[in-house]
Amino acid sequence: MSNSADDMRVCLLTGAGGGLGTALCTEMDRRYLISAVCRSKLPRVDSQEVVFVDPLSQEPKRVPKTFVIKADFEDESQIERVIELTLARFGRIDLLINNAGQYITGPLVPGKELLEDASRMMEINALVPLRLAVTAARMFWKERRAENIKLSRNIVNVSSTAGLKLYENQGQSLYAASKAALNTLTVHMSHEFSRFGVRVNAVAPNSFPGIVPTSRVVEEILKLDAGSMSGEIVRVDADAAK
Amino acid sequence: MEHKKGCSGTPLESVLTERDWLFRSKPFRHVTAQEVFVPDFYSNLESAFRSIMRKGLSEQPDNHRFSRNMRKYDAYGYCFQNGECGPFEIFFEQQWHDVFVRLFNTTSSGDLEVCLHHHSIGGASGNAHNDLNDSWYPEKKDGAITVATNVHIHPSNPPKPGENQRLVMRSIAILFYLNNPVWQRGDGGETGLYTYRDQPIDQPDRAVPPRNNSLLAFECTPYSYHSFISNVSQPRNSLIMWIHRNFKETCDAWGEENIIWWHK
Repeated sequence: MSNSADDMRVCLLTGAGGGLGTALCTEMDRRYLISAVCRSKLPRVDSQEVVFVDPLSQEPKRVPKTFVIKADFEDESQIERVIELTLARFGRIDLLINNAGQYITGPLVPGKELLEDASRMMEINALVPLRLAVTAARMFWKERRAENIKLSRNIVNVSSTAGLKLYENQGQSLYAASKAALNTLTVHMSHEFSRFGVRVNAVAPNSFPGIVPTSRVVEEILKLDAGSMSGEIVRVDADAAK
Repeated sequence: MEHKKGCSGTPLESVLTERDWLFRSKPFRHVTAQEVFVPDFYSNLESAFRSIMRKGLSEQPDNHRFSRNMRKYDAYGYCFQNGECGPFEIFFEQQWHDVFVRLFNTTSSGDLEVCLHHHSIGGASGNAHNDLNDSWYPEKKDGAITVATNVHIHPSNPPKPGENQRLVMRSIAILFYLNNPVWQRGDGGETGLYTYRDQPIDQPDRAVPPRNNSLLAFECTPYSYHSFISNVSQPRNSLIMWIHRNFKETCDAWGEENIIWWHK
């Protein structure tokens, strides 16, 4: 039996159009109302924009729980718009999953193209999660300490093991730096956001679905939401699975 | 016109492949599906299409082959004649009809029109239109599917006084793309979907490419603006069909003033 809307947690998810985004939307469907942010590619789940239908099914179409917001975070003004739309649609934000990211690799020398992409990748992978978190705090969380604690409101940043260790000959210098920055921001936000009762953690998976199944990354994110920890960077690697 | 009842004996569930059809709401409600039929069945459809194409193209209206039979539309049309449907029979059947009536939660008078279209390379783009048009069908005594074979050729001819005909309206349009070269971005030949009637044809809100064994379906409403977009480098082939509904129900749903009459 599905929960009523009041019983469900409200999740703001970025990067919803990718593989992890779709997996999260699918897994969270029964217990979360999801504000799914994507640039152009929609998550493969029912939303106000698209509903998957079986042409031979006699059952009526379901009312979608996922609310898609199209936004390009290279435009900084989209941050506030995304928070506003989520609050207008669902009235609250219980979980922010910063999943949008860019993965651009290459050698530093010669590395003209990589350097040209550096600021954009740092922006999307580290600064956009920071801006979303801070804007959500300013617009909704900062004056709701007791409610935030009661509802265990929190942020999960999707980082990478590349931000924790060196993978040689992968050309990941700037990607790794951006994820390391996200890890550091996670720890600092955890400290600062504790003032108003919002937890902040990160998952740092190895490559998925190649090395780590996407379902494991989903599982770890949902564990963080269900738990009570803050300031943790949870490594999700093939070794850790054993 | 003729009465015709589908009798292929092929259960739809045995020939449908992809059961995850996409129902989208922008720029207007429409359904798309890829890999609609199982390969063997699709292959039969392509073979049947090619055998009709082998009869050649006619620059004058001709009921027996693809011909220039549509006003202001740069394509060759072919309307099925009795007994020549082969695997296309599936499109004439109640089970196929019911899928779309259910998807769009609309009513139907059970009247169908099914044609094939061929655009030669360089076919001109059309104009954005909504297909909320009239059609005339013979009276019928039971609830069977009724198929029109020549309304597409002479849509502008309402019946003469004394002819016992029913006025119905296009309700659902279905395009099934087949027998096309592998489509690539830039080839053109898409069906453009538009928010506005005066939107530039080459700037649709959504362009549905003519990928083989895929379909596009939409309810014909005052807002279902769509158009063929010029196929610059490949021929473009499709099956097009309409499901109709009663005049009064159309007026109740969309307003009589919004109907686009062929003869006006």
